[in-house]
Amino acid sequence: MFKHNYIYSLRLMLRNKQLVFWTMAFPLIMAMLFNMALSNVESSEKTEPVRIAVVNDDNFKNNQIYKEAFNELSKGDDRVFDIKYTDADNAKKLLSDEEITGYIAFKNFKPEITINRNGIKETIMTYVVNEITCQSNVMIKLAFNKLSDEISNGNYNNIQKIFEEQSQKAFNGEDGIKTVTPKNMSFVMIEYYSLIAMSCMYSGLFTLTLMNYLMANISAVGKRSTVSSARKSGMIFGSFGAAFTIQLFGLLLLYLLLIFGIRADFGSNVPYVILISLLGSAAGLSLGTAIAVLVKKSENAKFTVLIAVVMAGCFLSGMMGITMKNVIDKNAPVLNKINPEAMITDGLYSIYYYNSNERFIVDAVSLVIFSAVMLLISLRGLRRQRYDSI
Amino acid sequence: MTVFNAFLKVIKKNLGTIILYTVIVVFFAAINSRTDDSSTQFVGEKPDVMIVNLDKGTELSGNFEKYLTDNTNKTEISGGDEAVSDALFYREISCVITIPKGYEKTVLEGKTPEIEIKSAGTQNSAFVKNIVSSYIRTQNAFASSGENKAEIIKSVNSALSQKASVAITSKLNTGALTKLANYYIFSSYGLMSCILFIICIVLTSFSETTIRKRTIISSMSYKKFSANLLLSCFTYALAVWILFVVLAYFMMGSIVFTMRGAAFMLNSFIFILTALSLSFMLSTFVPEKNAITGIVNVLTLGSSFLCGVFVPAAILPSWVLSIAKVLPSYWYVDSCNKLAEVENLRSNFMPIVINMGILIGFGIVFAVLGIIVSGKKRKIE
Repeated sequence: MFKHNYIYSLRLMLRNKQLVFWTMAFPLIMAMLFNMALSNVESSEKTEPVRIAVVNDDNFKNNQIYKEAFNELSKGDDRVFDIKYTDADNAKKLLSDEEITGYIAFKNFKPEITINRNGIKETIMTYVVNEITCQSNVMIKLAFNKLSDEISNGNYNNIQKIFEEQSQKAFNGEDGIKTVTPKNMSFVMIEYYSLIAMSCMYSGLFTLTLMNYLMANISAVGKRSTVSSARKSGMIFGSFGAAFTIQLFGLLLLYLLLIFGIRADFGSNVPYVILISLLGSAAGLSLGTAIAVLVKKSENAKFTVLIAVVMAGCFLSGMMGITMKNVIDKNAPVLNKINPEAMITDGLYSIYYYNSNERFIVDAVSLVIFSAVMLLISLRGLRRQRYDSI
Repeated sequence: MTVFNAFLKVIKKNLGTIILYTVIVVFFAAINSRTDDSSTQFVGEKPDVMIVNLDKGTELSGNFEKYLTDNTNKTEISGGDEAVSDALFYREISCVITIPKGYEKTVLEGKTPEIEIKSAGTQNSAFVKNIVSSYIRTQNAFASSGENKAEIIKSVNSALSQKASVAITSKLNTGALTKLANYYIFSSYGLMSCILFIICIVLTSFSETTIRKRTIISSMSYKKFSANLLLSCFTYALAVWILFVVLAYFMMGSIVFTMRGAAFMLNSFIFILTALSLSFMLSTFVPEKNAITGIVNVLTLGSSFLCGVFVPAAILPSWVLSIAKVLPSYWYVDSCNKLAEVENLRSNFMPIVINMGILIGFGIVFAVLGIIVSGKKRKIE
């Protein structure tokens, strides 16, 4: 009976266009959409030079310190500024056309900054300009201290050298900073992980459809299978086996596209990735069964409920805004503790970022518990359904 | 009334879907509105950082920590190392600054202490590095010239307190407006989902052959029936729109009913008209009722991703934006962004009017296509 039901369930599902769309085509379409929308996200948060203008009048031309500092700051690949030297009117125009972040004009040797609005680039610009003022003050103060020492010792020849030394100290001194950037910081990966989670949960549509063929109160086929003499366990396992097979095939397609087409990174622990995918698919299959049993309405209504539940889960696990998952984890952790998509996404994240740890195990166990609870609920609804005649 | 009642029945059946999308939009707006307000004065954007001071209790490290606290947004992350790593990954903080043990001693010996900055390599973390570097270099300069502790602190603080004057040209309360714009942009996902999904279901239900036959032989004229159906659809869309505007008021406050708020409202009103017309066209194209959920989901999610609803338009690649121009959402989102930025609304209203015109144009094209297809279908039957 198992084999018979397995083969016929496979044929049934593959002929159902709606099923094939949701479980195979939809995740692939979404993957391509993500790739289009997200390809720039991470390069946009990298440091790029702030575009500014400097009013190039006599006030600026006579200001040796700023001239040199700006020159220094706009050199090289990791430069802070891209500077346009221009007159006041053009600077204003550039600012109102949003060509630049802001412009600097000098009055009485003091810089005056004009910007359009508040923002990180504006803050960087202001901070750097302030810093030049600070460091030049430091330099002047130190140089004068040193000079008065030298002069009181009767040394008048080293003035130029002292200024150069102190300027070197103030502007180019050592800062002892050690920067550490952890590996695997690409946070758009969360989007692809939530996609895998979505695909796993959509496998519920398979079991939902197949259950309808087994339930006498839903379909004519259900009536016939209920009164037939075949063993129920064989029928159920056959259907589930077929659903699992197709689901894994769909998931494989998605992984192939993500890994080879889009070059998403799943970390280096392949067995764990496979494990979480299997557990996730099992959770999806059991969710579908539970909805099939609990929602006592038409097949279409069940479909809609499952899709709505999955979409809501996607939202909470970060598909429509990556930071959402972290926000939920911090403020309403319960929500993500019962959301299987968050468990799958978090599992994949822990493999990628932490190279698997206790967190992964918690996620995996949570998925097992989720599946078990769903199956128990389904069993409660299904057991003792005996029909003498219909 | 009969038509409208039938309409209400369908809505009642699908209330769950409407609630779902509304909750998603409200949820998003609630989280979004927690971000800081910025005003018309210059306020430095402060990167979120976590500061770990291993040299606690010493004056020099205390002064350094105070300087960092003033120039960044000091954030505490509770929950141990893993929580800190998570916060870095999700960009909740830009970096973790660690002041080493023996910091003060090292400085007083005239050496440079090693400050560790753990970051995600973003622009904000580069800025923090700049802040740290500036402080350390200033401190070194004074320490190496033989000043004592108190003198160092005094000199460093006075040197670093220099500020250039900053003028800000915008008179707009950009913070509040950006929030409002974000709400309207995100609500386009909710509006589109609610309208497309329900209206498509209603229209396809009415065009099922058996129901069609019953409608045709009923005493109601076909014209009256169509007019009633159209009116019902419009009433429904209007109700959804009002719901989202009222929600905006509850979450954003009185800014919703200012001049600019009204412009946002008008923009989204035109958007629902386009969505209505799109759902009419879809309902004539859709082969069977079962396909509606799929098509609607691909359309709403697809246009939300490509037009700058889920990912800000400013960071979408330009080629994606050029593709997005064939979708109505692009013009809607573009208007929202313009409304949030434009300094003088009156003199710069033209581009927004053009966008609205394009939206109406889309609406007309969808309606005409729908009429042609439905006419052909009727002839075949």
